[in-house]
Amino acid sequence: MPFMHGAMPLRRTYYFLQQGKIHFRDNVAVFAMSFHLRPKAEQKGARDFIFWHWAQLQHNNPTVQLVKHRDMVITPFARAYLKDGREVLFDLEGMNREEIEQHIIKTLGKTELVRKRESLEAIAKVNPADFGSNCGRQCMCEVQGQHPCTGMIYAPKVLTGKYRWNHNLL
Amino acid sequence: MLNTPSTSFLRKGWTQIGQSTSILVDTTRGMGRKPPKQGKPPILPPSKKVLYHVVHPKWEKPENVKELLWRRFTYNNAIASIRQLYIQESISRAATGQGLEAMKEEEAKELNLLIIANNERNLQKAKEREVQKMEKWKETRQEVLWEIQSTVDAQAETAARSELEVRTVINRSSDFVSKENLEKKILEALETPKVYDFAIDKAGAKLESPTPVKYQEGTPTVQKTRLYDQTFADRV
Repeated sequence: MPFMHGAMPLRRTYYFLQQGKIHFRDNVAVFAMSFHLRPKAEQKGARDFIFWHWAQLQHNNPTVQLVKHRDMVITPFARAYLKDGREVLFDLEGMNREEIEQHIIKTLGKTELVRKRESLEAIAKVNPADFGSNCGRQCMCEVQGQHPCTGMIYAPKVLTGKYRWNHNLL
Repeated sequence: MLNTPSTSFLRKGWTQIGQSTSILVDTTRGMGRKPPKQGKPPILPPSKKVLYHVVHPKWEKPENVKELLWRRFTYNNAIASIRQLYIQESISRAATGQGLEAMKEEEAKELNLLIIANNERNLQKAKEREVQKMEKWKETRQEVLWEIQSTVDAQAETAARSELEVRTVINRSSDFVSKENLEKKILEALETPKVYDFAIDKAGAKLESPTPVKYQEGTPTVQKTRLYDQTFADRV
């Protein structure tokens, strides 16, 4: 595969990775897909899906294990292994790339209900004791009674590293 | 200084402290700058590398600072109140069976339905594939049967043709040369010589050789070419 020739390098762009529409539910642990390296007409969709959307899947679902099977059986298929031990089989014969994508989104993708529940959970997850960039306070020193940051006020000499350790040893 | 003349015999580094006593004193270090040793870096001024960025906020008026601080507290209080409200509401919803747990149950049901629909679709596709497979099998079977039939027909035709040929030969076999009629056939051949040699001219006409004479009469000509040469045949 040439480095920057044709449409293929598009897949390497961060923008393209972000455009992936498939966001698996939390139930999905493993997603395996079988395709063919030299596909017939009815196997072409699975091959195209792998070509265009596999990297997007990896990017958007970092906690899901993704497995590819090459030339395993005649019928191209996908199989998802859920966390409760169930298996969901997709028969992909005769489907094109868009149909496969839509079908997976419809069956195992996050629905409106899931998204709503997740957003509510994210709101409820806010802990007033947390501090950092995405929290109520940036630094522990903002709490009254805690020691202020040394950027604001000098630390006592006994707490400084220059006093506590002999740097000349090294 | 009094003994200066007498210290001249001392080795370098030795100092005389009495009339007859001398001790070894460590040599004094040279305090001047020396060139760095081989392979060592030279002494350089401190680098100008910036390790961190020190923020120097610009001075603001005390009343502005007061106002901003008030706004900050107000905002934080409002957010805290909203969160408190949200928590209370979620608790009350959970109590009435509309909380996050209920949503999760609903999600599980939704997923079950989706999986069932997917399974049905898989079964449907499997049935369709089975039908297609059967049709294809029938087509292939028909094709194989047709090929077998055509082969059998061809063989039968060949057999009939061969049979006819053999029968013809059998019919002709009464005229064949055998041990019994060998003398007779030789005499017949001598009486009626036959030439199978012929040529074809550019137009495709068949040029038969003239019938050979049984007994040579007169002086035979010197044959210069083939017998079917018509220009020459007259003279034969």
